[in-house]
Amino acid sequence: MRKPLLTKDEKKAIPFVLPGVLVTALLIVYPLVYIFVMSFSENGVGQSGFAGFTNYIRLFHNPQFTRAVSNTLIWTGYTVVISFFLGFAMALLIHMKGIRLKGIWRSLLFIAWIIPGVVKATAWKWLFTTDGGMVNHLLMSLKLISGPVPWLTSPAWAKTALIIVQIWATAPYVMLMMTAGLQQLPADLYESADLDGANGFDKMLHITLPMLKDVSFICLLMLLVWAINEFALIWTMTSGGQNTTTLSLLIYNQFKVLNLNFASASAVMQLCVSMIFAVLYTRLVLKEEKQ
Amino acid sequence: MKKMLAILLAMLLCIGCVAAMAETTIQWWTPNWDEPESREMAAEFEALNPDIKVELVITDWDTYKSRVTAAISDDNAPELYSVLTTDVVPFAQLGLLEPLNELGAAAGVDFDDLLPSAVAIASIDDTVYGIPFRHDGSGVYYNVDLLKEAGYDSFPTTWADMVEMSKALTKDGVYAFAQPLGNQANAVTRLVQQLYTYGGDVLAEDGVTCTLDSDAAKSALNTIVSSIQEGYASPSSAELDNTKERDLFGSGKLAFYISGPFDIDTLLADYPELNFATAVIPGLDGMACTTANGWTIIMASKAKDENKEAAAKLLAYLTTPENQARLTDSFPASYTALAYEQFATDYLKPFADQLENSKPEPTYTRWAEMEPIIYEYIQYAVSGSMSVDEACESMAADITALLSY
Repeated sequence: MRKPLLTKDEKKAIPFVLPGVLVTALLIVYPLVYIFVMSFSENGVGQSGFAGFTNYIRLFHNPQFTRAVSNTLIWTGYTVVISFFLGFAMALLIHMKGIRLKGIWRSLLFIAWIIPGVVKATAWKWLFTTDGGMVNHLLMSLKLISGPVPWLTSPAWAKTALIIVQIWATAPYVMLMMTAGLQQLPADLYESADLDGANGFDKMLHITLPMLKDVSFICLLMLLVWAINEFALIWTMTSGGQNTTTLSLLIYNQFKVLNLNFASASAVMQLCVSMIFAVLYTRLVLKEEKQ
Repeated sequence: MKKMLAILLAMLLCIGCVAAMAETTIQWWTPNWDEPESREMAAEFEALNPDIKVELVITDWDTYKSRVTAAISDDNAPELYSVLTTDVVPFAQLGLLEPLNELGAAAGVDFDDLLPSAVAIASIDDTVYGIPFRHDGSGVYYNVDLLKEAGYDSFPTTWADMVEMSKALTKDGVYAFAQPLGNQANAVTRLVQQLYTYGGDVLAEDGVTCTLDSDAAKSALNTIVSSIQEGYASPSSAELDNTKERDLFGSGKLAFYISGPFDIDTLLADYPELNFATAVIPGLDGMACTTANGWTIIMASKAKDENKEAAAKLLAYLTTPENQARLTDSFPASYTALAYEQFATDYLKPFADQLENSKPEPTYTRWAEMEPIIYEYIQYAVSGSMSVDEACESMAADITALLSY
């Protein structure tokens, strides 16, 4: 006998699940489909003829797009990798035996993450001001630099300044997640390792890192999504000037100047980049579950 | 008695319903700096036209473009919007604006009284898509006391003399002037003004070849770059926009700056002790060429058809010479209003003279995509990451590549 598609219990659950599914479809699927249709449309408001791949061809021939993709990759690569390792290092430091007031350290470090995006961007913009900014003042007082660094007004420095702020803002999240993960690790594993004569590096490599794999995946995925979609920080600090335009800013700029179809094509491209990471993550999780 | 009261009540309700049904509501999106006058005019118009209700939506400089873009694209869009005159053509090219030649004339807009140079920026061929009510260019504001200390009684008339004076003015933490390079629109406008002064243009006549690698463009960019690199324009120029320049000028940190006539009232109000005067922008052998722009009222083509006549009526009212004069701190776009006494002050005269040598800011179809490219290379040149020649050649190559698809 053929197995029914849904069990009796699953059928009963449909009315309860349906409102949530409908709301999700309305809020997520509809805008996605609409953007996709607009990206293939001649008219910016998506009500005109089919434009084929014209918008995409124009997109790939736009020097701004090429630079935005390159900036997005640089920005994402640096912020994700450094934030992850810095956050992990902070977590290990706080988790060490002998460290007092762990809760207070965690809370203090976590403040950077909970401050609203525009507020922290505005504060850092002041700190990075070329003349009279606190960062330059501090570095000059410590004799680390001889003259003021044009942090936000030079293409050579602006990206670095933005990456510093993003790392400052997101590393505490990794720290918090990793600290929670570290607290869950069974102490008997480390005791056994001690009996087997394992050193600190061995314990890190064979116990800590494998046991924190799930938390690390979540942290990395979140860092990637935040980096790819980050808008407020870059917009507030440089408005995309000094070669800091990423895909998010390019989409906004195109929308602002009425290139709605072009903006939609850019958004689809950004979605594709995010989807690559999302699919990788999902596959890894499914693989883990099967094992 | 009760029956009578019931009938009376029913009649009153009917009259109320009919009145409500007959009333047309028109939305007008107007910027916050025009809000007090806009409210007055809306009230006056409603008094004159009891069947039309005016609803104001107040916009601001930072967000108006994106808000208007979203609103005007919608079905049953709000009817009227005050926008920068150079925004009119891009909206019109997307089919989002109502042609106003016939609709405006029928409602009482006097097209013969409007400045042709202002109307031209808001038109495609002979079709008018917006009624301008403000039209202005740039000029120089200078600190009379600082110039006197440096031995100058009046502002120089050539760029070379101005550079000479600037070197004398820059001392003790005061810079001669600044470049507004912290804002894309301000920075690109400054370059285009210099470009026009040197006789250049952004695109060749074919409309797809960028000519920003011309000698004129290189000279134009060089005036901006050298002013900072030689030290007489503020080194913090890359962080400044026009508003911050005005603040620095008002507080005595800059000896002069270039801006529009709309700053006069702000300077008089915010810096009552400041002894300032105005002049035309110096050029190669005399007055430079400036870019002209202004503000215009447009009507959404996607607005309800039954509301368009009433909207045109309001539009005609808002752009009468008297109301243009009320809505502008600089110059109106009407010949009649221009003759009013309020536009004949000593402060405004150089701005009026400067308009004689002005060209509209670019309204190319894909200008919005070209502007960020130009801005990016200005920043490269100013920061020293590229030479002026390299920056000009790269921006021209990028824009030509962009326009070829």
